[in-house]
Amino acid sequence: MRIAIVGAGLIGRLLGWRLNEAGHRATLFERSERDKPDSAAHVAAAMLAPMSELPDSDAEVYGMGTASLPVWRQWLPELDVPHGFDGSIAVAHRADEPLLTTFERVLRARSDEPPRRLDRRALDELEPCLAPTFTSGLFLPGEGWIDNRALLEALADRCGEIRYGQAAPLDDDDAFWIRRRRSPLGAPAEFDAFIDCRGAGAAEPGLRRVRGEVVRLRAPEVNLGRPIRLMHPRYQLYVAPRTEDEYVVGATQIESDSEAPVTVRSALELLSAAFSLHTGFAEAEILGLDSGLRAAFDDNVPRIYWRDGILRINGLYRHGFLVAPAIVQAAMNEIDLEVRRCGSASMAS
Amino acid sequence: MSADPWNVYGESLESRLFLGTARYPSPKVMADAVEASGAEVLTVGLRRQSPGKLGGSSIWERITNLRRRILPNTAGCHTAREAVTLAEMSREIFDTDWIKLEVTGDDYNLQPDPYGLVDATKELIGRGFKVFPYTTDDLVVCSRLRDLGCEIIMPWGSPIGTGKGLLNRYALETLRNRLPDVSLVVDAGIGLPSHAAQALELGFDGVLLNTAVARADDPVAMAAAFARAVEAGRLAHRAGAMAESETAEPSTPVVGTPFWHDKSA
Repeated sequence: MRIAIVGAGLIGRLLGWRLNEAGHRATLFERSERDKPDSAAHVAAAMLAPMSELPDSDAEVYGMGTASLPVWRQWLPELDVPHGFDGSIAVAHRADEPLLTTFERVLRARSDEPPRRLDRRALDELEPCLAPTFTSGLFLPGEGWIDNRALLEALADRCGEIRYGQAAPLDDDDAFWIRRRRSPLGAPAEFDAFIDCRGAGAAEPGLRRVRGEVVRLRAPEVNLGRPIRLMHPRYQLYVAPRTEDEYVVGATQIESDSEAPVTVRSALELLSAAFSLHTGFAEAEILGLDSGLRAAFDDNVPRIYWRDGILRINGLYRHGFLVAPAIVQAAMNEIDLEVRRCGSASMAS
Repeated sequence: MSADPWNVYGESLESRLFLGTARYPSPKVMADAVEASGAEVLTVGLRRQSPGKLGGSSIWERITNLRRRILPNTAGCHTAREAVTLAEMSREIFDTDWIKLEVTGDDYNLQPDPYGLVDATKELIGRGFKVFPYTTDDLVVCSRLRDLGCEIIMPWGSPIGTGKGLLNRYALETLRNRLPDVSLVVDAGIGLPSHAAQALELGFDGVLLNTAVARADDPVAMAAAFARAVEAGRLAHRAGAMAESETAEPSTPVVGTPFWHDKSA
């Protein structure tokens, strides 16, 4: 089938790639220009942390996240994208110890694999550069990270043609689709199926936007191999590694549609969190301060559904990378059903 | 016992539980928790949502649709001037002259700054606001707030988010005794339903809480637990507690006890 995907963010690209691999032909429409990406995936810390996210997420998200991990392990080497699956570590400063205890209690109650308590020596073995500051922590086996920007680039070559600078204007949604589905004077339609992957750019009923901010740093004095989550009374703070001494520190979580640049307060919070984790961050270079909008439904659980003949995928919230393979698999199933349902009709056209 | 409404700036309320709307796992859980709590007043913080650009519109709409009274707060403000500006924006956005006034003096404890609080209260009352000040349990500060015209005052039980309950019971009792005509609500520090019950037992008119519900493993069940605790505490206060005593007083008469069982003999 010839499939139009609107939105070349993480899901649009992954889905385009998988559809092409399955013998379809995907074409992506992207609002932003090639050199000015504005998807949430471009900003994301891209941690694969179904357990760590448990205290703030639904059981369904946890299920999708754990199901997605092995798929990522298969895909990432194939795409040649930097990644790690050596687990993650949660730590707390002394004053915030009770938060770590609560975190551990929730994980023990709700996750399939219990976290492991780390004493000073065990912590020192796993992440030596944390040991001077922290005397204990929690180890969450199997969790990982992806180099989000490398992934988006790798997929750009494989997901089919991306038509940049072309979007369905939100207030003219239907006209856009109708134009492409039923060309005037009975000319052949350009596409057989349509998938909406616009995320925060979509105008789906019930969808809201949640602002997130991150700092990207280059810190040669810091040597962390795993994502580190720092307990804090009011925020979820974490540091995710990249290659070449780079780190992503995130993320604020603000119920706001604002696309304005990162605020001073958020920058202070993120940077002081990084510094409190390891003093080597003091001399780090700030590579970027980025903000983005994540799309979420009322229950913060992703949804895949048909509306007006278009397959809609949205509401991945802060869990886009975590659940992407499961979402893509579900979307592929929908497309397969669609092929079977009206396969002969669309082939004839 | 008969119905027991109370009055806040001329509004009659049944529930004595004010609930915050931050830090829930999702808006849906928040909405279900509000339902389970029976709360009629919800607090909302705008500071970080770019209110000047109406950045938080979708979540504000979600909260407004719950059809409870909205009490916007000025959390995150560090000076009287900041708080007054945010209060004006909140009045526009939520169409209410109620404002929960927070002026933070210490960032880690989120301890109120009494000087900024008094200044901002004066200014806001002058501008026609109905001020709900979040304060420490200091009698002099609370008296000053009353003198400025606050009909309700909200001292902390302990610092926000600590869940340590009523750390200074003596100070809270003093407030109740010395400010009998003001509505008093314990705001902040409530971790357990029993803490909330204690506040009501002391004669406080209500409690305001957020973290204790939002960060519970099951926020909806915890909201229901708080609803009952608040009701129990209020009933207990109205029922009149027995006096404490230093020695045991048997509730069964001892006259008929065989003498060899009577230890004092």
